[in-house]
Amino acid sequence: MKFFFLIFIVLVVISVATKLLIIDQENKIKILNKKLLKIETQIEKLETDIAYIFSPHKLNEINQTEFNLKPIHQKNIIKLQNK
Amino acid sequence: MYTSDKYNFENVVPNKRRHLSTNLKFKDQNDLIELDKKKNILNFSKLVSNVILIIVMSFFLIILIKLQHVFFYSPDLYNINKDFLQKNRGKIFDRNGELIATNIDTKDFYLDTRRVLDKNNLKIKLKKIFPYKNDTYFENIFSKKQYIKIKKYLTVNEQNQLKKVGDPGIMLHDSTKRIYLQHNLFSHLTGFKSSELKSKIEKNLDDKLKNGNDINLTLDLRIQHKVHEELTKSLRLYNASSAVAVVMDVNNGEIISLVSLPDFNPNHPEDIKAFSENNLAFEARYEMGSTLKIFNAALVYENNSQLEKNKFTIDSGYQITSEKLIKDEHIKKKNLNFDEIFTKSSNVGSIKILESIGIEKQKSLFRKLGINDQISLYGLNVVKNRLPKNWDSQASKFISYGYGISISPISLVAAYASLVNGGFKIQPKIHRSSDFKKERIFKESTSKKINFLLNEVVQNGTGKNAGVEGISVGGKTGTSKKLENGNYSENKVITSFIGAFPINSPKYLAFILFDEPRRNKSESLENFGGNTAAPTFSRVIKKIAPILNRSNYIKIE
Repeated sequence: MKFFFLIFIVLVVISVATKLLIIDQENKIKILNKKLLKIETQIEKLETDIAYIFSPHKLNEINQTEFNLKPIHQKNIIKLQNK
Repeated sequence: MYTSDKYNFENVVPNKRRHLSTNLKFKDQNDLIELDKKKNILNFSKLVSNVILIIVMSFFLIILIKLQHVFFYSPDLYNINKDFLQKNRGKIFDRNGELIATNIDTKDFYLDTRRVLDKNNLKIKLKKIFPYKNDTYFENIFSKKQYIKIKKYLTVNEQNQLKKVGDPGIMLHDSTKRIYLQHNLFSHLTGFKSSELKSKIEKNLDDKLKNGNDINLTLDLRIQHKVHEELTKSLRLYNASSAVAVVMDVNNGEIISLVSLPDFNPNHPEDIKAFSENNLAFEARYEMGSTLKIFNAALVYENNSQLEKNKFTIDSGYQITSEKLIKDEHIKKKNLNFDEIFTKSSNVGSIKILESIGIEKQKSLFRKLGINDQISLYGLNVVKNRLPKNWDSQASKFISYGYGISISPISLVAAYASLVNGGFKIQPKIHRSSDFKKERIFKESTSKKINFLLNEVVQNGTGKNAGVEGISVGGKTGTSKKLENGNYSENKVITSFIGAFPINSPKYLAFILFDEPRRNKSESLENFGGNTAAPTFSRVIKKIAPILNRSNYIKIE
């Protein structure tokens, strides 16, 4: 019985320690998640900005003011033959 | 030691204290008497010990199971991540993952007039930050003790200016705004979402979006932009009241572009006019006119190919009712061969073909093409086609040249897709999904002949203006008078063109429609599908063809 009692005590200690460890890790995860959320939000903002900058009407404006590139027409495309 | 001889036995010694008693008790030094009893007790103890051992072990086992459950399977631990990341409304993307609609975090401005330090000073500053508010607006606000919303969705500039003012009465609350990055381009599909109202996809797929699910459309932002640009130019050029354009992949039904004009900017729902809110591609129906004539050709190819060799006399017209004589005034020839009925778009010839084929075959064809059914588009409400109440011989003849039946543009495009794609029925779709079924409804030879005929219309017929250098196209023009108070108007028309490319093995289908093009106001009937929708089709294809899969096109040297 002493032996089992000893095992029980050890397991209880291990369980409590594990639980504490888990709580600690959960808190760390929560902190990391908050950081992740912040980064995700920033990425989303940047993606939104990029999507806006690369939207066709914006690209059109940039092209007209900066580059004046002409569209490629189908008649100018030569289909390469498979040899 | 006990000395009495009377009670002295080898193994049994009387109890010292009670040796005079009649009720004698003995000490069994070698456990001879109680051996069995002790054995029983020992056995019982062992049993109890084993039971306790099992209970304790079970307890430990439960702890161990619980421990490994916490370590490996605890759902709460992993859900934390998802809860954090999926709090926002789902986004809407185009077929290439380009962002169409998303959310941005912003602030709402509330004012607590009881906490304001210097009302006059704050009033002046707020007037500068919000110059578009009425002069009396802030006077009224500050005249009462209240906590009131001044503006939803502040811009970054407004937020910074308010922070600089720094009055304790200024309250900035976190808020999320739905924004549409492509402005008007997809407005007729996405609809809009404001704090009070929702429409179209935003309304019909609200549950999905609310749960953070993204929606991927089949539309291509680049194509949509080009089609929108060209259609807007043409709408102004022809001074039309509205216009529709649809581009579809004929092999899988995916809609690549869908534009309906006038449209609206979903970022400003307060400015949306009622007449611009309907998507005319699937929320309106039209009498399509001559674009429906190609169905007569399909009837002939499927049922009676001998008619292909006939000549049709058209100069005397066709008396369709006692009051109505149908004539092809735009055609100078007296007799037309089968192909010419379509290339020259003869109403009389179409009626005569239908007469030879019969009304039942026509009804059956329309059923096969799905004209009788309501098309379903993911997250959108599609109008049902209006068929004649009494589909008799007379109605059938009107239908043969595109009158007496009102169908939605999306329905016409889906029907044409079956005609040009080798004879398979397909369902149009705007949402990317793997579910797709192809059902053969025409012979392959019918489809090939239709494609040849459509090419003839562009090469030698009414659709000459639809030609595009570098791409072989085929299509059919359509012009129909509008119904006004029960009579067909002499001034208002609907013009359209539907074409496929590359026509030797069609991959895409494009449809253009103008409602009431009024370029020549005095002679508005000078507007036809051939000189409004067909050239617009040509300009659109010229722009979008290089973006689409260019290996599908033939270079004409």
